[in-house]
Amino acid sequence: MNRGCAVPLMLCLAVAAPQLSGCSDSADAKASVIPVRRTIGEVGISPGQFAFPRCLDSDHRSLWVIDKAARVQRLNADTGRALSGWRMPEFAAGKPTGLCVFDPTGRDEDEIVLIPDTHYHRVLIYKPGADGTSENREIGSFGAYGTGPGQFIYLTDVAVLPSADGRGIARLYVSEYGGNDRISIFEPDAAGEFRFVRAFGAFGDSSDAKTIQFSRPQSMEIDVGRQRLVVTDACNHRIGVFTLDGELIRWIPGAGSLTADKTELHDHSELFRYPYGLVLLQDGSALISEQGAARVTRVDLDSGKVLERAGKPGRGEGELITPWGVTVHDGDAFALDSGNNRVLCFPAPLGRLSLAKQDRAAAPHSRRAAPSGGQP
Amino acid sequence: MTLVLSALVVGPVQFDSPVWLAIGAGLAGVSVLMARRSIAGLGPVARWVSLGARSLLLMLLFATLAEPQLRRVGKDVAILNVLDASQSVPADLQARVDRFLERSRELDPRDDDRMGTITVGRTAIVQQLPTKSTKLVERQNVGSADATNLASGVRMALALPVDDAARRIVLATDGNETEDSLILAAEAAKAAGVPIDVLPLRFRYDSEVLVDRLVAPATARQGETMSLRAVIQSTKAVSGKLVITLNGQPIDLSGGGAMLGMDVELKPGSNVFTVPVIAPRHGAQEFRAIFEPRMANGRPEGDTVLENNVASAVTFVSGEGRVLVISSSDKESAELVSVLNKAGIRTEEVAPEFAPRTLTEWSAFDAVVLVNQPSFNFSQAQQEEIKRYVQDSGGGLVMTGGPDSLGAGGWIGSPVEDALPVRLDPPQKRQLPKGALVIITHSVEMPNGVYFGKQTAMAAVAAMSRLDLAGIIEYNYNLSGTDWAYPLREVGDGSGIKRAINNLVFGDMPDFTPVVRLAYQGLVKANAGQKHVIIISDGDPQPPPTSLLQEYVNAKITISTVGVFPHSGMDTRKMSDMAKFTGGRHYDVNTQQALATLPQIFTKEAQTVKRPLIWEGEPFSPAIAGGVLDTLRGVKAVPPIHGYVVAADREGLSQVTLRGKENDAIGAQWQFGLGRSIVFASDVSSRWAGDWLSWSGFKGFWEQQIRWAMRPSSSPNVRVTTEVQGAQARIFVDALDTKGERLNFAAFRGRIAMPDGTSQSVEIRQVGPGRYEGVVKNPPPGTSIVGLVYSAPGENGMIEGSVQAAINRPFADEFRVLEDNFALLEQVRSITGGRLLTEDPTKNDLWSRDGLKMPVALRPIWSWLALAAAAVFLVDVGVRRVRVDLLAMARSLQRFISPHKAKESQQIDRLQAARELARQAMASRGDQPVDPQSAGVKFEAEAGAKPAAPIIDATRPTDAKPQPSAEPGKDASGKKDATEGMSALLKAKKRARDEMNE
Repeated sequence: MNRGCAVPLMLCLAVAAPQLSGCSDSADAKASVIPVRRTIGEVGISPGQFAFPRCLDSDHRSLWVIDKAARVQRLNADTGRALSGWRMPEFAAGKPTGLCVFDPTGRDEDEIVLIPDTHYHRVLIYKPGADGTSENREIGSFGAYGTGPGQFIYLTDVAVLPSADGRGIARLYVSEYGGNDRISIFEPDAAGEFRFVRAFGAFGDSSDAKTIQFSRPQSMEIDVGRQRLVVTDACNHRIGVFTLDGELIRWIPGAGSLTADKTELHDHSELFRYPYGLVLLQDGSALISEQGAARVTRVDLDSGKVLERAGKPGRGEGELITPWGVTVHDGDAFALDSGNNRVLCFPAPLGRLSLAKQDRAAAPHSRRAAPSGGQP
Repeated sequence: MTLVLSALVVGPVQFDSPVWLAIGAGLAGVSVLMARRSIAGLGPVARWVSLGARSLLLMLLFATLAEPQLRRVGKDVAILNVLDASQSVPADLQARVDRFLERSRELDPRDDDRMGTITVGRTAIVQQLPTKSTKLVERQNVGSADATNLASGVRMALALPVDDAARRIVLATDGNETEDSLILAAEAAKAAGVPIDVLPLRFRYDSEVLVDRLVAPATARQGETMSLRAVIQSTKAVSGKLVITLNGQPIDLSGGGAMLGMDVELKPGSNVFTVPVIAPRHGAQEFRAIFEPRMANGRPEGDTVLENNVASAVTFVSGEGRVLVISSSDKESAELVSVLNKAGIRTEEVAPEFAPRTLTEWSAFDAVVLVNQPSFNFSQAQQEEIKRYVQDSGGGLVMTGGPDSLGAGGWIGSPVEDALPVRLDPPQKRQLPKGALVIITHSVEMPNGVYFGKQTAMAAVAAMSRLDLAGIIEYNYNLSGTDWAYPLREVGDGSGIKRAINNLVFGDMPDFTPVVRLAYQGLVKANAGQKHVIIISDGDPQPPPTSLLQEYVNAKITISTVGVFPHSGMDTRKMSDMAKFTGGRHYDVNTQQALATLPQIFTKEAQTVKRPLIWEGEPFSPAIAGGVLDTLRGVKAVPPIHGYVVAADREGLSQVTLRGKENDAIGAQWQFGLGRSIVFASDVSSRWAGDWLSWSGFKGFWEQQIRWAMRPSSSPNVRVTTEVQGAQARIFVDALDTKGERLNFAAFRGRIAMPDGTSQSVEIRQVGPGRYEGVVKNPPPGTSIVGLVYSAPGENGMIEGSVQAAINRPFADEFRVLEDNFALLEQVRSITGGRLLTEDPTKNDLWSRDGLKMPVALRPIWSWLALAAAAVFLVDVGVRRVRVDLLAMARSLQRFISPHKAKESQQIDRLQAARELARQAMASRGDQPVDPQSAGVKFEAEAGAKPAAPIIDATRPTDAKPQPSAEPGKDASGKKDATEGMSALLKAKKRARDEMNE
């Protein structure tokens, strides 16, 4: 990071830091409960209820959740009321573990939902229906079982690099695990179909920049302005920052901080335990949910420093059990409290990094966000 | 104002002891009357204020005693759906009920109302707790649906927590209950003020055939011709086929034709068909009558419910006793079978996979011999049946040793161990190498996954001895993530680890590495001979590094993996590789049926660490123990053995017959329930007992052992019949002695083994000459086996014997109903004040407040009233005792606010007061105008002056205070002047009084 942008960022951090939790004065303070504004959802199968939700994202007006009943639900972020939703076409083999809502313009008509259909080894792309319905339109899918180019074992997430005009897809990043732990890059061709470009990463725990290895890359986000891809490498307990072409910028925590058995870090203040959920904030920092530590952590992706941290295991207010996801919407942050079948809303340190307001990378081809029909 | 029971409700306040209010009101009246004299000196306003304050004070005090509480009445309604999910309710009706309720919820405009759902089968199960957001009706696992216990559903609906909402139960059922009493539950609902709205699921089978019962003699002699009677009910004239099976094989009723069944024409009502059958062989024989309706267009003609088309009956055929030998290898059992045959004991030998599965099948044999059999060769159900076979049906069990038998065969903790005369745990005194087992559990994503996961862990732990080490690792949601749910330590009595298993959460671990690492760290430090790890998982966590697995190999620790519904071949390979690398085994469980084998897999794996229970060494001859026993008659000494499985003595009536090293029990026998069992801890082959095979006493030894264990022969003169009468079954015994005379004063010991796995004792009493009778209440559907052992005085001593019979209830009562029971529902509605609902949601407002008892939250407020009383008390005292000079208060306030201005004001006041005095004095002298200039002159009455007007009371305090003198010399004179003035005033006053008196 150059010094020019470090100064305003530090100022932002200084202002935003106290908002997340009462433990913001030092990163290694003991975990506290999350300062909950409201709670959304409860266990059940009715709309607005969850059966172990595992995927969370947000758009300009709502939250999106997928649970282990294979239901995709769009929820009012204020009331938790279900707006619309549908069930995955197949789910006997397993349910999705990731979700990406591409909301380039903040308008419903431009919005698409990309679902890494984990146990069916494919990406499904939907155009959501109107509120109050279970309508949806599957506008595309790609992927097949295997370890070859363009094939997948268990998909975990999809990240979208928008096109230059901000309304289309320039590139898709798809992460997977299951022995084939890597990130594959796809770009739309002239016909709108996604073509495999390349993949990077393999299974392992190497920290070497030349041999990128993952152990369950669980979620990804793209910082278009800084031209980087951020990945939570869940089972290696770290976050990877890459260029958009897959070159490693840094691991957080860096090499050598993990003990041999991957259960402890030499520096406990920088500990991540199974970072699963990820959302980037306006200052370029990341908010992550740690599935194994039941907490939400804000980390500076340049220095690797943990800025804020809140949450502890439990079923009480402000406590979490195996949080799988985190997102930010309209001044509120949301942690997907999977084990408690709910979403906790708490003050967001900063707004979510917006794709629409940033410089966008030029791409060889681009695909409109919501084409009518046609197989991508 | 309302009166609720003994409480009085006034607006939002409720008084629980309102009698205090009446007392308070009375005392307040008395107080007013008494106070009229005592406060006569007060001014009118003060008087009324005082009276009011005192009355209020008394009322508040007594209101405090009246236990006042603030009432908050709830506004919301909670609908608790009790849905009949039993098999008597057609599936389409159940679906319609769900749609009705969901539509009704949609129509409810009040978001704060709640809905919850309970399904009812044999038991009630909460499907959804009542919540505001529940919009859909959920039916997950409804449990056993072959019975209907509506009462339990209603009681559960009454017990569910519903805060601040009125409760209403919606009961959707056909009204055909088979257990408990809905009426009693409705009475409880009425007492709780909860109305039950009923949604009757009306149906009537116009076309239905049911096989009411199959009547067969409870006992028969081999070769005897028996008459089976099949009773079939039909609602209309129907044709079809009647098939009778014997032990699952159809009996040819067509007279040699290709069709084994018999064509029958049913008329409306009861139809009886009699079929003669020859009792084929010794033992329990199970018959079934099956009606097969004629099919038309793929649908049965004249029949709707096919589940009630089967009835069964069991007949016990007496004859020569048989012994079943179960062995995995001919080499193991050949010598034993040979000597039994030579001894004239009819013996059948089968491999374990062909072993009997039901109690009826086991009961066909008088004794069963398990030759070096491990427990995992038998399902849990089979093990239960073996125990019941001995305990309830009086069969004999003989278990011989071997490397796969007894404690080394995983029988520790099994039901069969209960029936054995030794404890399979090694004795405390033995210093045996321990086994150490770590179980790693991962999320089991399948129906009943957690249940099966816990069962498997229980099975593994149960198979271990108390000195073995066991630990459980799971991935939980605590900060540690991977942790010991039960640290690696001695199993002991197993209670601790079983508690830990019950609390397992089966977290969804992302990575095998930490758990495998943790297990290694625990095992490598453990003082144990055999160390083993079992992992149960769906296989999707990340694999551990090879370096870690190599550490396992180096430490001789094995890993076995059980892949339960793995997501893909990749997961299977991952788990298989872990097992293969470390020398363990891998199991794939991919079907629901295979799930049932999980406990056996775990038992087998646990057996891996049980090898230390085997003793092998220099041969020795076991010592004969005990006194004179039938099993050791004529045996003075036995040949040496080369090995045996270590077991411990069992307390109680067990008798050890042979002892080995360190006094270990090699042979033991005892009576268990109605039957007997024997353990021989060495084997019957050349492996450990080669010298025995050539021993001349081998045949005699084993013949005596087996004959002692065999069930006593049944007398053909003792016949048992059973009869099901409503909810109870009666057992009749007709006993004759060998001369055909009635056998009296026989003592019977009886047990009944139910088809649901339970068993109980049954009391048989003599009710007439040679006639005995017993009653069994509520035998469940299926075949219950009755075992009776008797002894009676005879001419040549005691007559002893045993006899068996069966009680048949062909199918659940659930399938007997042909139409709904609307009358019951109407009664329930009437009792509770509920409504009769129709299936049109627009015509039924489920959330209507009518007839509901809204919940009231009460909050005590006596402390508030007590505080108010204290405040009023002060007012009362103040009014009587304190004069309030408002002017002075105002001045004080002014002084406080503005001290300087107040000082000036004081001086002016003093001057004005003095002037006023002077003016009055002047006026008294002659109404002379007062010279304003003289106003400041101090008034002093002249001696002898007669006042024309009342003299001013000089004692009345004035606000004018004497000013301190600036000059000390003048102070004394000023004081003197004041004193003189005062005395003059007093004198003047006295004079005036005297004059007035005159």
